[in-house]
Amino acid sequence: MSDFAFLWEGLTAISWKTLLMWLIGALLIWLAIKKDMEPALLLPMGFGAILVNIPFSGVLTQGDTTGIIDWLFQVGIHAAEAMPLLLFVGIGAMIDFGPLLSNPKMLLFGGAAQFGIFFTVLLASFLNFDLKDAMSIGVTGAADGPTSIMVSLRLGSNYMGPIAVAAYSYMALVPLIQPLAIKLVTTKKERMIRMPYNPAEVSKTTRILFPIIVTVIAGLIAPDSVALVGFLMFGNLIRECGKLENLSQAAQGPLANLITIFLGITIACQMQADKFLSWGTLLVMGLGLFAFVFDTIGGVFFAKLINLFLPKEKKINPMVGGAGISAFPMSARVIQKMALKEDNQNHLLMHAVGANVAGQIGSVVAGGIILSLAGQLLA
Amino acid sequence: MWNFLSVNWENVNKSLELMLKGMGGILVVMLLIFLVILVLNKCFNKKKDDGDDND
Repeated sequence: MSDFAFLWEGLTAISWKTLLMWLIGALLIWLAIKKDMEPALLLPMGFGAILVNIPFSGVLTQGDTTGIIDWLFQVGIHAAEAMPLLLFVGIGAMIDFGPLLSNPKMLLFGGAAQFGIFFTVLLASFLNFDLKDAMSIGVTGAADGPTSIMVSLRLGSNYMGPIAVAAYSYMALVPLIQPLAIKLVTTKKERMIRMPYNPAEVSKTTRILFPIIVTVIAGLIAPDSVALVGFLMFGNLIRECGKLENLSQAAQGPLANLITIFLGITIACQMQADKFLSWGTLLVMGLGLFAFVFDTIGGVFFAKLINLFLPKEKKINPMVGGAGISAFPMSARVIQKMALKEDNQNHLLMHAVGANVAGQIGSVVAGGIILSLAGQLLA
Repeated sequence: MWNFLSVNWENVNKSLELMLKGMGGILVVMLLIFLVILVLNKCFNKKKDDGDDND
């Protein structure tokens, strides 16, 4: 009988932690399929959570045998953050900076809406998280998965798994969280402010020079942001140059899809029960939500601040400020929907898109600045 | 269990410093990019007005 003991070795190694992680995996898959919440990421992460928590799982390194998910994590994320960065090439190729280039003042919202990141770092420090963990948790507020993963990895945070789950979950929860946060800090009158849209024409030369110049500026001020900004802008340059349509389509489609498939399942490497199941994880998820809410509120309050100095006919609808986060284009759509709900003739979409793409730049720059400052502060 | 006395005030101070420098840094970067866009739009839209369109 003992010759067949290997048949139930796995079964006897199942613990309550294993079962809980399988449940979490199943929940992520359910959210992806039934609730349509970021299915491209939550589904691979959910399946990966089940996969890595099977006792003696062959996808993880066991003794001398290297597991595929461990290998993917080491090569694709740990070695040089390749996966998040390559995904940024695809994202850059998807983004049309036109609405921002024709209305550049929206850039300011992309900066202001990063307030939640830093406010959360402060709160997390107050709750006695290590500074490197606090910084990593704060970045979750931008709802920017690749940047969150890269910062937490570069800083060596102990909470990379929960941070990745939080970043992608809140990205998916934009339509639920943002309206609540915005309504909390705006009046109906403010939400009804109309903003006429008279876009200036943007020349092709501007569209081509923009990604190059932004990379140089961000790189000179925050050199650690060069990888993030550079890859994002490289993707955008491929899109805008007008000569590489095939590459642009490949970056937006096959490249982004391939990386997304493997990024989700690779992140699950950090969702092993022993690492993932702790009070710290719950706190990280809570703080991530806090960061996301305060990012939104930061953008809204900045718009309100600017309105104090603008004449009545040029006032900005504060909801547009809330779109200055990285979750593109969900946030812009949410703002448009909210505006139409208050006044069915109030079309804010293009303003919100401008703020939203600025938020993409802002979150990447914020990540780079945190990495740069971490060098001084953690020394 | 968290308590007020166990707070690491050195980290809190560093976080405040990060907030100040971080938000300042982001606003500087955004302002610079804002100025660059203004200059680019001014330069290349002018050419369009002169009938020398880049598009």
